[in-house]
Amino acid sequence: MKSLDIWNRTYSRAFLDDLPHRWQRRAFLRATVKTATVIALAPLVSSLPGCSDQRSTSPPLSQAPWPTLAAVQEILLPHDAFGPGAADIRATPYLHALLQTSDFDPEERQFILDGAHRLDDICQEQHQRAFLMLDPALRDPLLRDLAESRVGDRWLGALLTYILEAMLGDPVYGGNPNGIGWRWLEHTPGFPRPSKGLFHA
Amino acid sequence: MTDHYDVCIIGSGAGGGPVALTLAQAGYRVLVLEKGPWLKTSDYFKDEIACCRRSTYTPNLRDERHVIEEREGKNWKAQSTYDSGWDFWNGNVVGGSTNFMSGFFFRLKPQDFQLRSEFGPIKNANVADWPISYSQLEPYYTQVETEVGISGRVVAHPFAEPRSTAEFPYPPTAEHLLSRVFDHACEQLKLHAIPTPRAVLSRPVDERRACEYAGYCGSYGCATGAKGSARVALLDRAIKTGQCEIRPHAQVQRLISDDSGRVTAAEYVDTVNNIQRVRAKIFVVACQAVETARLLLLSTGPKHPQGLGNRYQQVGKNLIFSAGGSGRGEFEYADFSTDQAQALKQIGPFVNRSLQEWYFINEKQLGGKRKGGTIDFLLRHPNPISRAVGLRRDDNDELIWGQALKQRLKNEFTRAQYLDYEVFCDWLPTDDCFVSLDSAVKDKWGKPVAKIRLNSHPQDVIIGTYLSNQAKTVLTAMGAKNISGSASTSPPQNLMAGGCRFGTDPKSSVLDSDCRMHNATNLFVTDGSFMPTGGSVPFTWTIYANAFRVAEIIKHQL
Ligand SMILES: Cc1cc2nc3c(=O)[nH]c(=O)nc-3n(C[C@H](O)[C@H](O)[C@H](O)COP(=O)(O)OP(=O)(O)OC[C@H]3O[C@@H](n4cnc5c(N)ncnc54)[C@H](O)[C@@H]3O)c2cc1C
Ligand code: SF4
Repeated sequence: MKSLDIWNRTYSRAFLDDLPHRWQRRAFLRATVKTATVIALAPLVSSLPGCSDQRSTSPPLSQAPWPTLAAVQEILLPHDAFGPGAADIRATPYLHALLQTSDFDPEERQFILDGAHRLDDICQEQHQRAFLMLDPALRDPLLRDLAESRVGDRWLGALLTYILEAMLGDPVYGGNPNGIGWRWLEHTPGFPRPSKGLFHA
Repeated sequence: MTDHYDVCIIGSGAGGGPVALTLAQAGYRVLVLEKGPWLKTSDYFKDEIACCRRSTYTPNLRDERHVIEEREGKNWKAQSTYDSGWDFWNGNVVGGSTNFMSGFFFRLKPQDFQLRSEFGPIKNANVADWPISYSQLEPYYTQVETEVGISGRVVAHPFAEPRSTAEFPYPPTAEHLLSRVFDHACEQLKLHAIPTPRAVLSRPVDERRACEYAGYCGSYGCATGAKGSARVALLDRAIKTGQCEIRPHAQVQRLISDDSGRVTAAEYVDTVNNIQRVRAKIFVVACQAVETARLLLLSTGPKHPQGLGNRYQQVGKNLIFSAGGSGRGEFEYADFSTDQAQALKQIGPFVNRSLQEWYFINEKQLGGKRKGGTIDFLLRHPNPISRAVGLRRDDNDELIWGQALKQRLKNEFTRAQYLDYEVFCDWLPTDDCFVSLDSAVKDKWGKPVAKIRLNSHPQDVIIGTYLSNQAKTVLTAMGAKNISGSASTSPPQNLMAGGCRFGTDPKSSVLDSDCRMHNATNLFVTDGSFMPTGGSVPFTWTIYANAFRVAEIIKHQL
């Protein structure tokens, strides 16, 4: 487990301790807003996909680490007869667009992208091949092992959060095409819906 | 320093709006300085990502944070809100947090103005009587009903407060099937179901449309103008008089005072980070409790070496919240007919029911006569992302994914309707709940941020638990399943008040009974900061009413 140890050590305990907030876990636990919101107006990043200058801050979708991230997302939310998977809800383009926004916390962006490379390192160490080359049946167990570590837990937790945002956020943000996530969960969205996926003051 | 106004108001929310409208209508020149942008009704959408997943309507915590101090054993542990994610900003745009409130509106009771006389002192709590009585505020509560627009239906109940009018000016908003189920259960339990008054228009007035029941109200800006935000209900009208100017993106950093102690100017940073000054005869601070205390503490002057009005170290002290707790019950669709299930699933119409049966309690188990509180019942907030994100970890905090997560999501979203309750009781003021300036952490302009020490009094939880249990009994009688709920020692950061008490003794209060600063006679504070105690309800109706009252006082002083 050398690669995992190195990964764990790359990020200070304080950084990882902060992560639950950055991905809202602690915010969710601590939120005590009353009167019809049990969620806090907690920040994640301060701007929205698309509202920044389109600086290319991560590689294009076709290049590493995106195919690996897409494969991990599909394990976290698999397509099956029961309901849509990560690809169906466009989880990868959603995350890609989100990470492009100039206001997205740079450390968090790095943490998410870097995680895919670390996963490959771990996979090399254990199975002598990249994650994308790994037998699909072995992928989920590898992630379950990973989740036992602090850093892996935080990384997967972040990916899950953004999958759920892609699934249930307004389609203007690039996920949830034609409201597929809403329909699957029989959810009625509010109105009026946003006409553009960003917010200009 | 070219401008000269009669009144300069800092902060455009519940505390600022009534003053701006009243004085502009009276023909005075009014300037409102607001740190956030000026968004209009057409800028608001039902967009969970914008409203609730990003700091869209509040500052980025990287740039502007608070420091929270909580007890850890015998010590106090400080953590910035950027690190904890526990955001204490509530809405920083023209109209302030009122844009995002749900508008569950309650008056205080006459006894709330005399808590110390009525219930005696409480150990380790700084309970104080108000320097004014309910009857002095009553006309302004009534004024808010028409000026802001409150819908509701008056019913008789044991602790109903006196009213000078028979009915609300607007009929109740549309109701959900569960309102009827609730009424039926209350009849059986011999309780008095109260239709919760709402700062939501049930019929249109001028440019404000009636509520369109989109189902996403609290936390969302209103796209119809039905919600009684200070912006649509008051400031838009103030602008129409031609006497009021609103300057958005104006972060006031300091009030400047002269040798006599009077405030002469407000200093703010504009959009391009230039420092600007404005002069006025009278200044009104209404930045919400925490930021009001911070601004005063930052505003030192020759007569105010420790901050404006802080001669006796009272600024920021006795910060309060609305104590209580919350809970939930489930109504499984399978237990109802197809038609009923369909009605249950409906989101849009409100449940709008509350109970004040236990506003005052006399129970042996609680030690006799005690102040209780209010229970509000409401449909669970529909925000799907926040609900789903909460499901990605199990009770042991382990991540869940794959099939198991999908099953959980499907089950959570499609099996049942959820009825929530929220308990409101007094957050007793104590020496350990206050605002000060942090000595190390600064905002992006280099000014010290507010440090908030938090402490809840043990009695708050005892009362909260008592009320929470009553709420569960009602849910049980309604046929709800999987009932859960508890009292909380964590404050709801969106319901804050206190910090600049009004009172008669300058040694123990910051403001006089007119909400004028004791030793700076042209400075008023009109947000919730003036409240020595908060009542067992959310505060906003009271903040609005008091601001209308103070506006009349300012009118006479001008
Ligand atoms: C989600 C949510 C739900 C709520 N539901 C209810 C409810 O159902 N019932 C109820 O009674 N209350 C409710 N509230 C609470 C209600 O919104 C507040 O009590 C009320 O708005 C407080 O009024 P205020 O004037 O103190 O602050 P605000 O209305 O927030 O106004 C303060 C303004 O001052 C500005 N400001 C701050 N600092 C500066 C500065 N230095 N310079 C310039 N401007 C500054 C802020 O940007 C803000 O616009 C809710 C609040 C939220 C967030
Ligand atoms: S239209 Fe009605 S439900 Fe929607 S935000 Fe406005 S007041 Fe709330």
